Amino acid sequence: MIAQKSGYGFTSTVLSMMLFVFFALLSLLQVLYGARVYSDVVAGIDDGYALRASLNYAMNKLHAHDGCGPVRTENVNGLDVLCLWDEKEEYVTCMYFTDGYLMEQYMASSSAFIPSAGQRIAELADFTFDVSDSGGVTFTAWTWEGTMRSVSVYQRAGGTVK
Amino acid sequence: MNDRASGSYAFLIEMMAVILFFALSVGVVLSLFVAADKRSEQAKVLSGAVTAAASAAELLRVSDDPQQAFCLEYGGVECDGGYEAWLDPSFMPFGLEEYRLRLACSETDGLNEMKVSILNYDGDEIYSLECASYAGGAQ
Repeated sequence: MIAQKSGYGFTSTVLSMMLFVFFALLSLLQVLYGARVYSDVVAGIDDGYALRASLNYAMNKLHAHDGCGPVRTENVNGLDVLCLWDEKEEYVTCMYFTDGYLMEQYMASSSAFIPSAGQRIAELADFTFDVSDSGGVTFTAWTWEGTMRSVSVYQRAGGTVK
Repeated sequence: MNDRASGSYAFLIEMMAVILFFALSVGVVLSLFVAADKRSEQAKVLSGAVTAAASAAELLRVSDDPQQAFCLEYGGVECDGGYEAWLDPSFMPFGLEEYRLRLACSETDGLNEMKVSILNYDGDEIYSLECASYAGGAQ
């Protein structure tokens, strides 16, 4: 009788421990899954922010420059630069992608172009601009998450991009 | 001995109640996680649709013949009184058929009014914007 009682106590303790371990495992799984969902959501937000910031910046910059001076694409030491010149071609706003960032640099035409001296606009995996035959510019942005978005911009005040 | 056995039994019952409560809360929390994931995906699609619609509107506003420009740039075809073209998951033309870009035009007194819509595969509207350009001609 005494042996039976102590056996019952042991089984009960093991069952309780098993339930407790099950509870702990489920808690751990829930935390892990929650962390993954949270990190996915944050990555998606960052992704969207970088794409919107870069494409809207490029689009608005070109629209704001419409009719204000020539727009040209130039290659400076292997780096493609979109140059928005003022009417007298004394100052230029350069837009380019280097070291994982879309950059902007406003400078006098007599100054030397130093890519790292620009202002960071958005962090991206890549950013390109292509000039079409019709004079429009297609900006394409890639994020580190692998999302790609593209937008075409056309000047309306008669200017063309060369 | 009887006290000890009933104590273990009570602990067992308590643990089962805790696990039941935990299971219920897991159900609620998981559904929240799934909803957050889904909402995030919807936001991503909406953002892409806005960019694609703005890009298409940009082209249409500067074109002398928006319908022709739409057909050339996006491979659009006439459909339900407007023009439609397929876009891929990156909202680019001439790829997989994931989204639909729809253009509806109407001309009034020389003003070409256009509605650019992005629809999902089933035809539900994700985003649309309206734009206009002066076509000339009629006074």
